[in-house]
Amino acid sequence: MKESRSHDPANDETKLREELVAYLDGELDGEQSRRIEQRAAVEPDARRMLEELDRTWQMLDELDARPTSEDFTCTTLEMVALAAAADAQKAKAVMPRRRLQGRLWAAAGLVGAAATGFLVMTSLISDPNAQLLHDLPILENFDPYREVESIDFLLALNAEKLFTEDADVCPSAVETLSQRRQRVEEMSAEPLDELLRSEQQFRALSPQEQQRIRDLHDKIESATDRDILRATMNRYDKWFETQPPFRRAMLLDKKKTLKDRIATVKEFLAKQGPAKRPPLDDKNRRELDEQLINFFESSMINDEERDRLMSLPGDEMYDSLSKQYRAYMLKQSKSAKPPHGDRPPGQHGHHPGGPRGSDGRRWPENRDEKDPRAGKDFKGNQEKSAQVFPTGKPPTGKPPTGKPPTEKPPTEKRGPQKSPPEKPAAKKPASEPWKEE
Amino acid sequence: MLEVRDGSATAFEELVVRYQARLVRILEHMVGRRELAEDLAQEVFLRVYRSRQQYMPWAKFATWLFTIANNVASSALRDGSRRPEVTLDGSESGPLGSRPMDWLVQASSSEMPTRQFDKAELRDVVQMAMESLGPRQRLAVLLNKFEGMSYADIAKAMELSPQSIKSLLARARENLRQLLEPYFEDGILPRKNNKLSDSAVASNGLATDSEE
Repeated sequence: MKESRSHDPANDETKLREELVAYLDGELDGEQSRRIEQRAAVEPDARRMLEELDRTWQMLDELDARPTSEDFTCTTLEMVALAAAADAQKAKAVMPRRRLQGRLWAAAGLVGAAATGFLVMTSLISDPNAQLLHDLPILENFDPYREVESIDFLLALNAEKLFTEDADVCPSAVETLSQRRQRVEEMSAEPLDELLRSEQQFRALSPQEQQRIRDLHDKIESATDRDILRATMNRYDKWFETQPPFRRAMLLDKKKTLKDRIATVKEFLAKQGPAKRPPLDDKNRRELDEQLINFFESSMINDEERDRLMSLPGDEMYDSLSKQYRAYMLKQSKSAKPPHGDRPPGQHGHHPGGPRGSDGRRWPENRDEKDPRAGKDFKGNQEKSAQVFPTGKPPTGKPPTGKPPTEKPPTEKRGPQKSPPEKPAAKKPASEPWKEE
Repeated sequence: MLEVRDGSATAFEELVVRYQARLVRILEHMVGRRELAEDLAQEVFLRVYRSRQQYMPWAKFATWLFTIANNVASSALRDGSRRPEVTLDGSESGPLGSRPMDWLVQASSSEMPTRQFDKAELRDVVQMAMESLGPRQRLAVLLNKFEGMSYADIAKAMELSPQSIKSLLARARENLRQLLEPYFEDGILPRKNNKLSDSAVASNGLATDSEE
């Protein structure tokens, strides 16, 4: 140090400091470290600087790391999933040639189908409900069809023996148009409402996408093992709905190859946690009702609020109590701070009765807020219900005819997940397309 | 990360869970605001996801992650075109209140011989000392101190040479020493800007961008 000072003291000091810091950081080799140690032993200034640098470095330990907020992981993953979906969409948009080719093929297909569909189309024009009846099998499987995307995917699921457990496969009966009409007429309000919503969504798709779904339907129907495929599809759909939004987006990623999609399904099946949460079946529903009753009777609800709830109509009471219960559970879960992957359902948007995730589906309680048709019929006309059903029969809520009794129509599971105490019968929504002939 | 590159969603989820707190901490110190740090962390993860195909298996993931974080934070600071500001609320900032720097400037102008070596105060002083460093010095310190990264890895993350990192860290630690040692020894709170001599500021690049 003394030698170098004679040249440039400031530079020497800088050099010494760099060496001392590198020594503290363990960046020097054995020989260099020994030199620093020897120097610190004989030079008080160097020793003091070394001590002070080390001491102030230790003071940085006071900068505590705060954990990230509970929602951070979820929102990050959802944001990435949405961005990935948007990227995929963009990638699709920059392939006009292929799309054009696809359209041409689709147009060719339509021309070919035009001849055979002439009679059907004629009947559609004369019957305002005919289009819905014609598409009924598609509309009732609208969500599963969008989820599975292709028959190859279903075949691959079967080949891998995924979703084949409890194979209660029942042969499905072929319905005539009049049988379909009768079944729709006998639908209760909720499945009918869901059916009309599916129709609205289906009609909003591009012609190509509609055609893709029709093709998928036709392929399944014409397959020799169609009943097995259909059962697999329904089980996959039920499982899919239990997945958090991020995983759903990954499962729907159209950029993935078939092999990758199957690998993703296997991966999510293998992963423990919320993905394994079963859908709300009758047993779970009963349990939820029991929890609600216990909550209602607990000290969490004061007498005044209890009286207020009791004065409400059944539906409103159930909704109000459910909201309070979810808020309470959420608060409890936050204070307990469960580890990621084991959060209460509400945090993933999957609390029974809670709002759905990013797939656009909703639980009934959201309808009042978001569904412009809430409280009205398909076009805002509730009083027309007597006209809507040609038979004039009130909704019976009977199981649909023409369907195997063991398999509920897919629309039923999307109905309200609630069986509140003394819940009044829901009003049947009317629909303009579904009107008296 | 290799699994993420090959399209595993679960692996990506695990990466987010594993690195989110560390990333947010680094970014919070870089930009000075928690909320902004979380937004930027999401942006970093998004970039990781989008560029997963470019990930090279021989690169350390943390190095790659913090390279992206450095770019994102630098860009955010440039867009803000101002020094990062601290907007911690009173409850988070300890006894010095929401503007610790103002409080410290005032306090240091009067003698406070009986000041206790309070832990919360110490944290605020250290925090303030960190904020006094320029962005590059601060990032190098954070990666070295909290991520335990070697000079070579910090160099990769910050796209500098290892020798530059060595110099950068030496200057940063000298700045911290000059700010914190008087507090440690005598309880003297550092003052904004003029605690260090002008020459020290010039030679150590304190709170400047010309840290090279």
